[in-house]
Amino acid sequence: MNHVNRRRLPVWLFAIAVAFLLAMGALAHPASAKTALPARPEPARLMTDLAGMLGRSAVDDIESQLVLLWQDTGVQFAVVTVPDLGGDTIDNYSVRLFEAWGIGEAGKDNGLLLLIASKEREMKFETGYGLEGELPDSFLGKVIDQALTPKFREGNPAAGIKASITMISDRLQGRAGEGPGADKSSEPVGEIAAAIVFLIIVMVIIAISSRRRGPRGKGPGSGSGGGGSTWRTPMTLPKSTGGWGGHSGGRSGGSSSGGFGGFGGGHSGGGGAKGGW
Amino acid sequence: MKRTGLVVVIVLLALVVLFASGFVRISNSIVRAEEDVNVQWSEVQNQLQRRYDLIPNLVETVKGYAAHEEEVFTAIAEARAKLGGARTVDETAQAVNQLEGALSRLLVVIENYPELKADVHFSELMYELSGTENRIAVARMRYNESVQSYNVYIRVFPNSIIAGMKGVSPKQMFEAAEGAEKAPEVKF
Repeated sequence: MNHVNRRRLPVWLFAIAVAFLLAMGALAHPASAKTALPARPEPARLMTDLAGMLGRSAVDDIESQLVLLWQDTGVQFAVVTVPDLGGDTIDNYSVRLFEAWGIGEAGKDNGLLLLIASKEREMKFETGYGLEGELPDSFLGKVIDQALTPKFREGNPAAGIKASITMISDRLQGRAGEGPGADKSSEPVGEIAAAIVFLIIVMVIIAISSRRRGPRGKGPGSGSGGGGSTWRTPMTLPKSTGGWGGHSGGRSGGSSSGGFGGFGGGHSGGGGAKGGW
Repeated sequence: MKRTGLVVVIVLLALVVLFASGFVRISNSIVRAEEDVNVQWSEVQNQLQRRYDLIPNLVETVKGYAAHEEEVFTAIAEARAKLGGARTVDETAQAVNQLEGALSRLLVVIENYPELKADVHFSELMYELSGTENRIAVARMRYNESVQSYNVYIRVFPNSIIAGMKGVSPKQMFEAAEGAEKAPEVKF
């Protein structure tokens, strides 16, 4: 038996080795050296002032404005200031940052990034794929020319940013009712009227059926849930608290219940407009 | 003796199964990688088309102020026609380079006409053009990345064996011509 085993062993080993390699199916990804990007803000925020260009109260004001826009339209408009671009171009940097943070909801791609580089005095809007129709480059160029550049030149960046959010918000307002806060803003009047009509119908039915002198017992199958099938509330809960429709979004601290829920992994195609001051 | 024979058969069977599943998995991955390249290429085509469509409007606006700059307009028209006829990656890359050269010359011409630069419609078009240039750059970058990924995947061992069996070959990147790395710079 021994001499048989010695002859087979090397073949076995070779066969196993090749099978192992096949099973692994190695795929190599080349490493690329690029400028480091700032990390996604935790807890999730829309306004991130890394350059320290704005005062604390201005940051909070702008954050509220952006959160309101998000609640009204679902658009994730992120404003980020950085001290410098680390040698990268603003075009490159903004696309990479957009992708790294995943601004916008996955699938919907309704993210917008305004990147401001303090040292280079440059700014760029980066649009998610889903917003390219409503926020064309020429419109964003106008926002830069009319709202941002003049105010930045005056030394009042906060006012410029607020004005730009207003312009963009006005443009997007036709989409009110699609955001996470949508059901809050729906008309209550119509619902009350419908509820009243429903109640009247129910009362009429009860009035009619109570005239009948017959057994009112439940027949087979007339009772709800009699068949043994139970209603189950859907087990699917949105992963990111407060961020409806956001898949694997940022893990928000959940501290402020009215705050931003987190980026949803949206993509950008490189569209937008850039300018400076 | 019989037991050794049985063990050998079982092990051989296991090896065959391993080989087969490895083959299937790698083969499918090659297909997926190739589709990714195709998707990225469509996006490049998409953005090139967008610029292609913008240009006539731009040229007309410039003509409104600089009617006599015939040379530049002709160069653009020719380059545009060439791009329209390009089919392969190589042809497209060459045609794109030619168009970008012609656009650069247009931008130089524009510098001489301040009233043109002040025109609102023109300013809008320039923002659109600039945005499109960036989209093209991003689409090209993503295409090249997917090609690189694909090429590496089909060339490493043992994928190369299966790639050879399927008859797939490395794809071509979208290269810029030498000295023309930057798209026409839209700046005033």
